[in-house]
Amino acid sequence: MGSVLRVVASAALIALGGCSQAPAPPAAKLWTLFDVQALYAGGAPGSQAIAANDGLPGGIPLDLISSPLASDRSSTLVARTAWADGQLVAFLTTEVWANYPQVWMQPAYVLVRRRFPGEPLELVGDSEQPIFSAGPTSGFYSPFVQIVYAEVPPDTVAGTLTSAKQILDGGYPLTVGDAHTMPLVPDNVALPSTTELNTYTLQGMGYLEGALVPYLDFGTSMFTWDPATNVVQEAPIYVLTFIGPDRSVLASPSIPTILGAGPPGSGVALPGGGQRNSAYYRVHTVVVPQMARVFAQPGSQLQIDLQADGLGAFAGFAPDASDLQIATFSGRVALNAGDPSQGVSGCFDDPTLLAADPANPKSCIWLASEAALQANLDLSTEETTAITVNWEVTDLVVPESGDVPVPQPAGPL
Amino acid sequence: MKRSAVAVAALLWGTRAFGQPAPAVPTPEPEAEPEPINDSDGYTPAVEGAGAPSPLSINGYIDVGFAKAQGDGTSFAPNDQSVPADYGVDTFAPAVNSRGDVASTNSNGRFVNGFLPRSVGIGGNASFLLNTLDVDLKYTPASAPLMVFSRVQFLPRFTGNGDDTRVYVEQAFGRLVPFESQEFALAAGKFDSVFGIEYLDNEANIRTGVTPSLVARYTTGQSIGAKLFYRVQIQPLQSAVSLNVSATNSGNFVESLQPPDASLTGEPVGAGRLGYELNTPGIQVKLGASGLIGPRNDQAYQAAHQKTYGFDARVAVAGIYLNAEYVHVDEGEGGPKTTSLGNFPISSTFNARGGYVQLAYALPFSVGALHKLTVYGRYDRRHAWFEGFTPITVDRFTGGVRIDLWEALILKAEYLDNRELAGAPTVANNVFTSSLVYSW
Repeated sequence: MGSVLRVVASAALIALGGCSQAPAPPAAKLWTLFDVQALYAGGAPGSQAIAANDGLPGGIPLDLISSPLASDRSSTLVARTAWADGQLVAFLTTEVWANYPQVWMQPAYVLVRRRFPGEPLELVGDSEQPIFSAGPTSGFYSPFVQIVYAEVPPDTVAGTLTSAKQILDGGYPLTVGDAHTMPLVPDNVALPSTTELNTYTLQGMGYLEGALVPYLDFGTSMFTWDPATNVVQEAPIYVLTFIGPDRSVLASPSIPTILGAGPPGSGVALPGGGQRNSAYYRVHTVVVPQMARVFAQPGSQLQIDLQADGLGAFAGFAPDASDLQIATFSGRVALNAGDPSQGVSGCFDDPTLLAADPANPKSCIWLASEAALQANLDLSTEETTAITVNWEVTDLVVPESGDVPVPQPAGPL
Repeated sequence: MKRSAVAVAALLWGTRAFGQPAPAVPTPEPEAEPEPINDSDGYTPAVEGAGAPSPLSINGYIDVGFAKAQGDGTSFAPNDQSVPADYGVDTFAPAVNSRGDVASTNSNGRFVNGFLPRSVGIGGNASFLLNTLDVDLKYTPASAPLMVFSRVQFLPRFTGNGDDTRVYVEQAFGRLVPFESQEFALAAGKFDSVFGIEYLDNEANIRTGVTPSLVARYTTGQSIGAKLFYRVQIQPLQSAVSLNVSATNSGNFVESLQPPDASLTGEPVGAGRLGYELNTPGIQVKLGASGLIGPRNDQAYQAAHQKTYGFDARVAVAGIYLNAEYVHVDEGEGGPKTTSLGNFPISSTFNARGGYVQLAYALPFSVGALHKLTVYGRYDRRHAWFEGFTPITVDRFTGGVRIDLWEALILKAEYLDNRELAGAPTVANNVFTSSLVYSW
């Protein structure tokens, strides 16, 4: 009997009560171009979205980042367009983060030397071969890089110093240089044509853990950071959303997003004084009024895409619009488009009203800038998502007849 | 001589597991001194005999240190700007006391992601330290095969953030021995690790040297849960086989890496050690294999597993005591990280391989107040990497001396030569440290 009681007591001693767990906080996730390629290689279609449950309806489909793999396993980055202060810009997406409260700038060491004392510094080797410190499989990988020049002895041979440990152990003089947006990329990823980007992007090879790795260099002045912490400062981008008949929130990647102003010091000034861009954006969604319409020519690819995204009812068109007007305004969202089916008049009734005219209250009010959103929308509908992206906004889209991406470049708004 | 040898064995392998069930077969030389039970279920107070004056006893120790680390007391390279700062170096290297606290973890504003030890905040300055004020309470009722034990530690600290003193409940458990005829014990509460052997040396009044090894962070942490210990003596072979298993909140990582006081996942972490011991008059050999599996308790996802295994060996012969241990650690990626040091954004995939070999020799004399003089050396090596970061390999040579005076005073001094062999930048992070331990 005594032993039985002891056993019972022992069982009682080790018994653990049931418990209920609070939901786990969302995990931080990072998708690089390596991940996108891996998803494609695993059979994912281009329509498969990443960050699908992080606040942006539909997430970010893979084919908005790069093309599906070709037969030689290569892919091409996809150039997209967005509005920045009312002007159309082209951009590439190379990284997507979800549930990251912040990302950090990482150092990359570049070797320089003086052939003889007093002579200017020169690169070691024929080209800059940065030594990166965090690879794309790390959650702390960052395309935001601060170049740190290491002045090495003049007889240093290219390829002999390939790790941060070698640089730091060498005790070489270090000089902080510019900050660059330099994503690491798989070696079979191609840039889109210069026609689509209107800019030159450096492609090079650097070192990671002693091995060569390809990278892209989109240049300097694309982001700012907190010098005390190296945290990259984010700018907003706005994705316009619509409320469907069943109260669902609808969005379409065919409607260009709107870039907010970057932190002071980031980006390059647009012609006309506008703030062009940052490179690190957090996605916000903004619900537009029910009467807003996307300008889309019936039968166009844009109209078909909107239909597929459940936004067919929110497409509108000015029947007598010219080809130039169609090219200019396709994809834009007008607040006062009107709706002939409901007998509501608006600026789409008359092509002469498409161009914004502050002196004419009947002219179209387009949502193509952060200022326009702030002036015309109820921003209490704004939702901050858990998604941040690296969008390398490369340049303004320059009008070129017959060979420009859709939607076409905008005229003055 | 024999007495000295056994005493040093106690130092090296941890003192007898107080309160441990009496072996069914008498251990060799029982008349000399309490035999160290190496496959113990942790450092716990001894069972008192029936004639004990009181079922309640109070024990403890005071560990007063003096330490000086090179550089700024950290392993961070001054010119390195990569983040997280704690991913590319071994932040645990400049240890100064038996708790594994380091001289500093100040990253000077660089972001860190929670792979950090506790710090005593002295940087590169020489400083006296009150490492630990330890108070142990043990209650053993005469009417039940039960023992209740608590260990509360006062840890005075002053860091760059000001007064950082803590009162820490390191152990608090009850243990039941349900069968009088068996070495079988059940415990529930917060108790010592069951993994490997280094946890036996956690306390400053037991540890041969001053500082723990480079792999102690993975194996020596206490946690809350339930534990089972069972040992079978095989008298004809002068051997014993033991099993020590536990289910706890966090497994056996130290509390700065995985908080033990709550389960963040709702699923326990299982750990265990299977041990074999050979006890002959001439040589003692202890061998063990340990394993740990379960969700990592520095985040909330049950699918983010940690898997650890290790092997340990101890040999005592002719006054020489050899301890060796190997540990293999794999952690999967999880959600946002929470440790006893705070909240961090990511729990990265992490892997580590490492171990140590320690050799000690007790000089065979005892004169007056000098009871024992022990010299020791240890070699540690650790190879570890976070996913996407350059793997680092570090090692450490530790040499020291320990002097036992009377029965209640221990003076220890040692030097740690830390080296960054690969991946991590070379930094000045060697340490001289010492410890004066009063026990009562």
